[in-house]
Amino acid sequence: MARSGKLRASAPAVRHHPLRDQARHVAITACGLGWVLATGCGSDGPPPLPPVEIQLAGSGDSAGVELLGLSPAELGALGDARLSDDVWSQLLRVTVVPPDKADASDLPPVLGSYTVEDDRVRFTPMFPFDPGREYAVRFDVAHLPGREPAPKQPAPVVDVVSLPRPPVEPTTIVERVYPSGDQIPENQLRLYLHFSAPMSDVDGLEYLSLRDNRGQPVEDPFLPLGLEFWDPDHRRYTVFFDPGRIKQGLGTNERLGQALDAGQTYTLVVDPAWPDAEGNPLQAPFEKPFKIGAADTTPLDSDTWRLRVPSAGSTERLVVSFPEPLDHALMLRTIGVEFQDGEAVLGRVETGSWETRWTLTPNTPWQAGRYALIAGTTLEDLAGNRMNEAFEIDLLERVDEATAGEASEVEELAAADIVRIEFEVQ
Amino acid sequence: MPLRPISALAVLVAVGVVLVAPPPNLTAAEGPSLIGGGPLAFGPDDVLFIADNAGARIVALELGDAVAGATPGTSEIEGIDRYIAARLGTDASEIRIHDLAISPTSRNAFISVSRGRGAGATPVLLRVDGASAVEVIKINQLSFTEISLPNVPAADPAARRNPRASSVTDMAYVDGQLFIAGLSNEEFASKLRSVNYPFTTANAGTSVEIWHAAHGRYETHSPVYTFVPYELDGEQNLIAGYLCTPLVKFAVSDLEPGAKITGTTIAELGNRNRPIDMVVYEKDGQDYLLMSNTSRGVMKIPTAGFGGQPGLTEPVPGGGTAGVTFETVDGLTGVEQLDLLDDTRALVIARDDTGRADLTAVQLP
Repeated sequence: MARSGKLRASAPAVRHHPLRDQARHVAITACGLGWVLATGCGSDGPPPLPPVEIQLAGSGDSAGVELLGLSPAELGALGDARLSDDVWSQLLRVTVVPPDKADASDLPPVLGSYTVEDDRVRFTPMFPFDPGREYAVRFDVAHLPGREPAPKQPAPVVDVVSLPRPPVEPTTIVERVYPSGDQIPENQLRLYLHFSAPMSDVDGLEYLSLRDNRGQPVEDPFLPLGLEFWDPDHRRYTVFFDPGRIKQGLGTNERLGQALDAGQTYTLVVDPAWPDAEGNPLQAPFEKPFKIGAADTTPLDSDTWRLRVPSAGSTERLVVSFPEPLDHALMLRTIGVEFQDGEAVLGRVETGSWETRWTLTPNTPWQAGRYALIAGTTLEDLAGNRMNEAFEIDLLERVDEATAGEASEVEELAAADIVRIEFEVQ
Repeated sequence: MPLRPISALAVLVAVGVVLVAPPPNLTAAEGPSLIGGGPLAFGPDDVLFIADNAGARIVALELGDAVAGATPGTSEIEGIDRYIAARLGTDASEIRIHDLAISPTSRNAFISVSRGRGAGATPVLLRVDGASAVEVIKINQLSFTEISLPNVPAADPAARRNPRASSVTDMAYVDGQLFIAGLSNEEFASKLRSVNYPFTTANAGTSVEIWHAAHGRYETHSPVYTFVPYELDGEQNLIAGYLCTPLVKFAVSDLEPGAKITGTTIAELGNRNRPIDMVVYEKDGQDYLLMSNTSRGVMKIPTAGFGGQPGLTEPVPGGGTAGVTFETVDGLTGVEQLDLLDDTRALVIARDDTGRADLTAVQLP
């Protein structure tokens, strides 16, 4: 066992830190005995500093800090003392070292628990140490229970520990962006970015820009919603165009004009610095150009949908074609099929042809009989238009009907939240 | 009108499942483990509602003795983000503060944060007392009930996890009901839900249409970011702040599950702005609404005109303002969290130009 504040091999990737060197220097000066501190400073000096060693123990989420070198008597006294967390943290204090190495003397200790084991004291942080982050550990012998009071105590032993940081290996990419087509309407409402791996919970707008056909960034094209619109797996990020720049009359539109102008081409640019869940940047930058078409303010009309119905006994796809691209996420979520007995048809749902096609490949063969394609009225096209409800339509009349309704009418309204298109499988 | 349970109303597409929240999960000694952080609201009997946004549920935590630290009240703490980060063993850049709520009984501050920025970020609930003690609340040792927020299931159950996620933007408890405003990452409509507490089931939500006076249209496509319950002429109302920034009142009795109702837009407070938090207080015999915003400071709005203010029906062009009068409070900038500390002070978390967040008590203006 080493007899100094030196770290053992169990704490890899530790760098020197001024704090540690300074503390050792003070300790040496106080005792004049060099690195070996076990023998104390003579009868007139402070009581001897125990020959302690600070080390990082364990790895990953179970990593903690251990203090070795206390005598059995000292450990026994510690175990019996039932110290409060405050006193423990005066004895063995673990603090975060700021990334810029700024003065951290005002920082409180890291929360955690202290245990006395056979030959050591262990500090286990309440939350796992961050890989790559440095933690200063200070052992102050003056707070050891039973320690003989003295006018001068040895200076605390300070060391720095850190878990190794995994190597930076950018592997995450932008896999897809929806709409997948290369043309969107002037009043496009949202975009979905799909990543190949979970991403960090940061504001993605800092890493997204929209450039016009001269390569100039468009000012504030996206809505600063203040909530990071990740899916639960943190692999899909939703971006809303600022409705102030889509809807007519909102102030931003008047000041900045529409974000997108019909006839122009814009490029969505993803900054590869966008960190993934491991903190690594993206493997590569990503760009997707869009041509801008005319604004779309027409509500969806299910009468225009076309079905290609498979035959009974087969597991062929049911294909539903739309006259325009629809919102990718809502297509996957709000469209389904049920059999005449009301049972949902389970199977693989896919979109295709730039989100103008929805297909269902059933898990079991189609039966002869009546089926219904069911779509929620929350289904939207690229501009947010819904069934019988354009994004900008005045709904006063319909609102009055709804609020005037008794309970039965409310139920009808709920039932009206779906459309059914019946078809026969033969 | 009484609120009706969802089971009679919910009609789902695709798989025909009725969205009934699971029965409340009451556990005596084994507390909840949150998946994500979110807004906070105090209920009766030291119950703290926590929106677990990543888990699509709301947990009602029975704080018991944990409602109070050693000292009543809340001390100011400079660099609260840095301080919390240090206690949790990380850097301030890894801390995200979701909400601040003051206990009505202990006047201690409860702060909901996430530690870490990755998908595995850990939600943490902290309590700050009147002697600057910042403690982590060990929620896994507390009793709780919970309710799931309805989420339309994916059409294809074989696919990976349903990518639709709901985020609660604000909650408020009044007279046995918890009101919940939320957004989804797939729709843009605002949704107000209510649930009886103690929990039974969450309703389908009322889609709320408003007159957005800067826009000139009735719309559902604007999210509610903050709201407060407030009585107007003896009738319970909700006063809600929307994106870009209509202020809207609804009578609670009009909020019928599945219905679409029209709120009354009583003010248009300016564009390019997102309201953050609001509280109501009384001063010199007058009630005021205090509302913090992302880019338009903190507004002090007398409520005296709320009842009589006719709804705005004419467009307000050019990012202007209209409706009930307000003043912008001098000297209150960068306010990201706001709650009432006592009758004369608000507690805020405000970020300065250097990015430092301070926990500060301010006199109510």
